[in-house]
Amino acid sequence: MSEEILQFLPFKSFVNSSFWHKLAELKIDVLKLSDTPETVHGFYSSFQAKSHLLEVDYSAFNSEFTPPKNCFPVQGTIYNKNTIEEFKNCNKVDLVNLEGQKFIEDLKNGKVLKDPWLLFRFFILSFADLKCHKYYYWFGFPCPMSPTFTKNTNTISLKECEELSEDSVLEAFNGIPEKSFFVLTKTEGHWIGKALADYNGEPDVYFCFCDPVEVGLEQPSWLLRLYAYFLMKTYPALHSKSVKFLGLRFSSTSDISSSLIWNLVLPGDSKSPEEEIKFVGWETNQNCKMGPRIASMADSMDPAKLAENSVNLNLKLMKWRLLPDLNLDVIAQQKCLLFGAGTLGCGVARNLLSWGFKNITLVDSGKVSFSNPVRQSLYKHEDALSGKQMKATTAADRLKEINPSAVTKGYVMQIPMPGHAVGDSMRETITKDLETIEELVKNHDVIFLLTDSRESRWLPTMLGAFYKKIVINAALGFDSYLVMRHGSSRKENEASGETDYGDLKCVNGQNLACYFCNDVTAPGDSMKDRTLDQQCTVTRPGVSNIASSYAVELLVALLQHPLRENAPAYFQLTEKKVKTSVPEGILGIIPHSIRGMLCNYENILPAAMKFNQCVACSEKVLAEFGQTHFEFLFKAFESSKYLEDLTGISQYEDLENDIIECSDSDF
Amino acid sequence: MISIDSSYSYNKMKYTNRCDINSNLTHFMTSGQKKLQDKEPIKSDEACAIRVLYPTKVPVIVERYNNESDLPTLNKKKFLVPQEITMSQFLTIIKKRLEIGPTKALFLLINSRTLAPLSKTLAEIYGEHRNTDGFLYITYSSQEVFG
Repeated sequence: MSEEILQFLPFKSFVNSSFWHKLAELKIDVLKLSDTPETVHGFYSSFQAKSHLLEVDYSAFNSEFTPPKNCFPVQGTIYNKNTIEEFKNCNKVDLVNLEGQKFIEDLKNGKVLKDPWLLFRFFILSFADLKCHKYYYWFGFPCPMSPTFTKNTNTISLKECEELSEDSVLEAFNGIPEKSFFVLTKTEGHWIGKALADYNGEPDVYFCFCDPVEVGLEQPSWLLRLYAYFLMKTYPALHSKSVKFLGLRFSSTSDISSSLIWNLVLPGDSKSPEEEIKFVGWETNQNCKMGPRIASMADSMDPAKLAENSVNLNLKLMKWRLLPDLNLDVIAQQKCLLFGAGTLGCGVARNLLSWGFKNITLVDSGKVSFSNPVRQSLYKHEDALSGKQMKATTAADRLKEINPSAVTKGYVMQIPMPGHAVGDSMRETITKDLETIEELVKNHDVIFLLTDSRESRWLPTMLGAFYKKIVINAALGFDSYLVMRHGSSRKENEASGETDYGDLKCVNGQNLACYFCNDVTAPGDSMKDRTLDQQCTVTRPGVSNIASSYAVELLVALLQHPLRENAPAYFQLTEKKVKTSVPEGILGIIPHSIRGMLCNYENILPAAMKFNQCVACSEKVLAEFGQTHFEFLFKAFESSKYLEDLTGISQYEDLENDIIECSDSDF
Repeated sequence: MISIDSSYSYNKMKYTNRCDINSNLTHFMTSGQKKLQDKEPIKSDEACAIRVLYPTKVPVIVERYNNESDLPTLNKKKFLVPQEITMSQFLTIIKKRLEIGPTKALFLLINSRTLAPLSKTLAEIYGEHRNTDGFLYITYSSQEVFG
């Protein structure tokens, strides 16, 4: 008879990568800054067990956990820290003792007796470096340090056991609901399975458990250690008695011949109840040292998916502390149509990607030329070399290169303009283009006007108003810029013009002006009689970057407002400080327009009402388009005068005689 | 067009009771009426004189925005404008005087900060925005058009 101390095989953690993905998702979207311990579940199997593994996967965080087939559930806790320092500085002794105490609690209050699977629990101390997709983690399987257990007789296999047959054990196993830990007792010559709770202290029983150890190893798993401790605590009658344990190891569903039987002497409970119980159970790392492990997911992830996650990470982090109410879904859903793929178009498109916009369509008729790449951030010198690369399609491709999950498309097309007459030969082509443009406007949510002339902004302005889209307009001067949102044509209520708001004036979103509302000239051919410097975008390079950033930020602020494009704009009449502050959305104020200049680094935020005779957004114009459609458009392209006549701005009577002009010397 | 005779040199005129003029002014205002009452009284003799002499016209100073390079400057910058005309009409007049091409776009800023709503009348704008010196200050500037 040997009197040797029984060695137990500690559990090894096996973390499926899906577990980390789920943790990352939870951390970013739900837990955020919270580092309270969360319940998780793992599982183990004694069915063709390779090694004593405890596995966790994506299902670990489910509130209703169901282990995979032939596996047994394990309850655990994850302590996911917010910083690597917290992870490192966490007191490991305290943590394992804290977790061990939970086990003792469950023993004392009878939970384990009722649900024996609670015998075994684990915990994870972790830190998720979500930026680098690295996970630092350390598993623990708490177990009281003492007592040690000694073997009474040699370990034998089930095959060698005379009183038990494999069939009777299998029969008992299959007949019992709680299979992870149960008792085999002999009743009237038959072996039957019993739940632990039904065990009444009868002698000559086998305490069975499913042992997740591969066939051939003589040591039992860690489970036996916990099992023995549980029996020692629960059944004082067994103290100093020889107790038989049957560890079931399945080679197949019907083959348990390799299962082992250990015969232990259960020691008496030497400890007084007051004495503090010490726990062990931290897992060793890959180098068999006490220390954490690191899982790096970056290599195993699809790069496109990785990029998408990372893009979203930076946005989602805003929600942790700064903007918990930020709605990122609404941003990802918007489809943006950009007219113009020049300096503004490139800048706006890139800023849209930064904010997590996914759908971007560009319309431009130009080719990439040598002067473009230095200012237009989506092009390269190479694109200009061939002389054939079209801006719209090149830009769309580049956006996908930057973010592969973006849905982008480029349309090479001239925007028909008022004052640019369409000859008969071109009428068919232009009609087709108009159909495409109209269809594009209909299918998008947001229209950006980023072209390089006033007249090319007319058609998209009019269509945007007609189809009730959000229209964001950005335009540049030499050292000045204008960024504005067009007034909404989505009628929600009977809106009055300006209303007083404390010391401020408030203009309802439905009454805000469009780009054309502040002049009395219909757009026309502005390239006529112009020198080269007057035709090209001659601007200080910074203005386009500033304007494109403002344009996208204005859109994002607008999208976060419950009224969207109907959000009111406020302005004050005097420069004096007033008591009333402008009402803010979650991203601050939402101005109607931003006019800024680089010469003094100043912005003003004027808000103005619609002009009821506007050549682009007034009722008359929209009604005429509604009635005669393209016929109206061709009339407008034929001559700017047509729009001026239609809106009546050309019919102002000559008021010259009523105006009195004074010289300074007059006074 | 009426040009003012040099004999109307208002600064030589004496006004003993400025309050009367201000109450007079209020009487003439149509829709800007309420706002004007809130405002401080007109401080300059000149504007007071103009208002008395031309009760249906508002004194406006139109200047080129100081960083503007494309648009020409106006020969004269002080105007007395019929108060019932709209800003859109006034803009038409200014554009005519600037003698710029038909497609050139510009915009008006009141007090260098507020965009002029073209549907409003001069009287309304004057009531809301006039300076304490009694003048309405408007600057014109090229509309940004590039991309």
